[in-house]
Amino acid sequence: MSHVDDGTLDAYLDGELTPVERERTDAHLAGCEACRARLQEERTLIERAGRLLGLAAPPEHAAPPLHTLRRPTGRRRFMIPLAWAATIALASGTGWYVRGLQRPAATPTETFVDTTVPVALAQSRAIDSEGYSQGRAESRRDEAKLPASAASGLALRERTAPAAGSERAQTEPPTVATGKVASQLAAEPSPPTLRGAAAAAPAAADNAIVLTRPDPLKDLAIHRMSTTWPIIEPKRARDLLGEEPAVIPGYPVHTLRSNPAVLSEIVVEQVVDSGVVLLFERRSDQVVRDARRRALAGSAATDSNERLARYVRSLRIEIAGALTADSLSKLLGLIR
Amino acid sequence: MPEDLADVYRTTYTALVRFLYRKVWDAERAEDLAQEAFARALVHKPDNPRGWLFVVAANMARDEARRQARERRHLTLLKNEPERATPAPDEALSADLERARVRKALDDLSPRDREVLLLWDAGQSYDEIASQSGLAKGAIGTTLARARRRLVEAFEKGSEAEHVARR
Repeated sequence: MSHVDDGTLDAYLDGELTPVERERTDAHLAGCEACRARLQEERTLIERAGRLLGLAAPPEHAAPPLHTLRRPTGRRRFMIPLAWAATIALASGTGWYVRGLQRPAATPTETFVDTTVPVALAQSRAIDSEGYSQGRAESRRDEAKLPASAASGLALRERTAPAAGSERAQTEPPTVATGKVASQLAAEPSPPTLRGAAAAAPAAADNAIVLTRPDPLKDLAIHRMSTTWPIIEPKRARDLLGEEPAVIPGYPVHTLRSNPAVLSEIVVEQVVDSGVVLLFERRSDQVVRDARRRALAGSAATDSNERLARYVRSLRIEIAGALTADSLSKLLGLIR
Repeated sequence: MPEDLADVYRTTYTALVRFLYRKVWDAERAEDLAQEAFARALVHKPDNPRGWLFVVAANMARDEARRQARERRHLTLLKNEPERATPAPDEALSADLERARVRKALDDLSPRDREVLLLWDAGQSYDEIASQSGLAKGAIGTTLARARRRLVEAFEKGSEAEHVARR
């Protein structure tokens, strides 16, 4: 037999040769010093590579019980096509928020997705009492206490409602007007009991929040625009959506605006407590189309951006910033 | 289901987390993704759960990387302050440094070499690696030999470069 190649030596050492191959290799090695030397070299290399990989290993945690890994995959696939999307962006200090987004370079206190995400995760764990959780709930998570930060932001979106369409609405030109709402979300600081979210604690008061959504660049644009979107009449909003806009019950609608670029998209501004809630809402058939496109892109791709979401019945809640427990539970209470 | 998912979960969870960690480089995120992969397996009930899980995990990690790249772009557009490196304690520093070097060395591998190496390190057999990577089983040993050699070389080269730079 000719000399043994490196691949065979590795397979030999990895115990992956068939008995016949192994026997043949043994026979050759017995009579070939050069190959024995190379075998030793490969052995050293394998050990070294294994050690290096060991240096880059994560800390090991016990796996949470399998039955706790619930995931509403089937449910969500079923839900989204039926749903029309409503996104609620709730920001503290909306006036600042608006300015901040319009001139990011001029504002020193912005907190963006990277720092807010850990807090958001901790919070979504904390509020996750519903069966519609993402399914990654685990005991370890229970350690996560509510963040103490007073800065807050919250996004809610996607509510189910029967699909209905109005093609006529799509062609109507938007009216132009402006308006601005500025106020503070009720946000009393709670005692600092951070653990999992400690890294994100510096999310300071008065910070604005940017939503974590599938396409940050696009979302930013939406948020920036939404404050200058033309104000529309309720009837127009109905026409654009093909149904009544979703609102948080019991609170007056402050302003309705339409997206001049995407006629099927509107924003509903509501004053809740002393904060302003923006609900981004889209026509249901538009949502169906988006959901289909996501589904076509592959199942694995479908949900990677939805990790911060929790469901309260049919309303999808996405949190992208620190919010006090009080404000959060109050808001969730309202939505329920 | 030919293979009980509960068994696979017990035997494969840690390996899947490790596999994912080398892709997303965030321990908690790796666990989240691993759990999500298993949760999906509960729904999908694949015939070959182990292989299926690694394929799904690899896809999720890829999506994650894309999403992070987008967020980074987003942040560079928005951030008005450059990120400041936070000083770390010494012991953490050296472990972090080593990890960073290994990470760099892994990044230097070709995607195929890296994938095969990570799958092997996550306890996959040659047969399993072959079916997941699309390589012939006979090519796995060769690929692994090359990947291991390059990993070690890249790591050592990286270390040398740092020593030179410090002088």
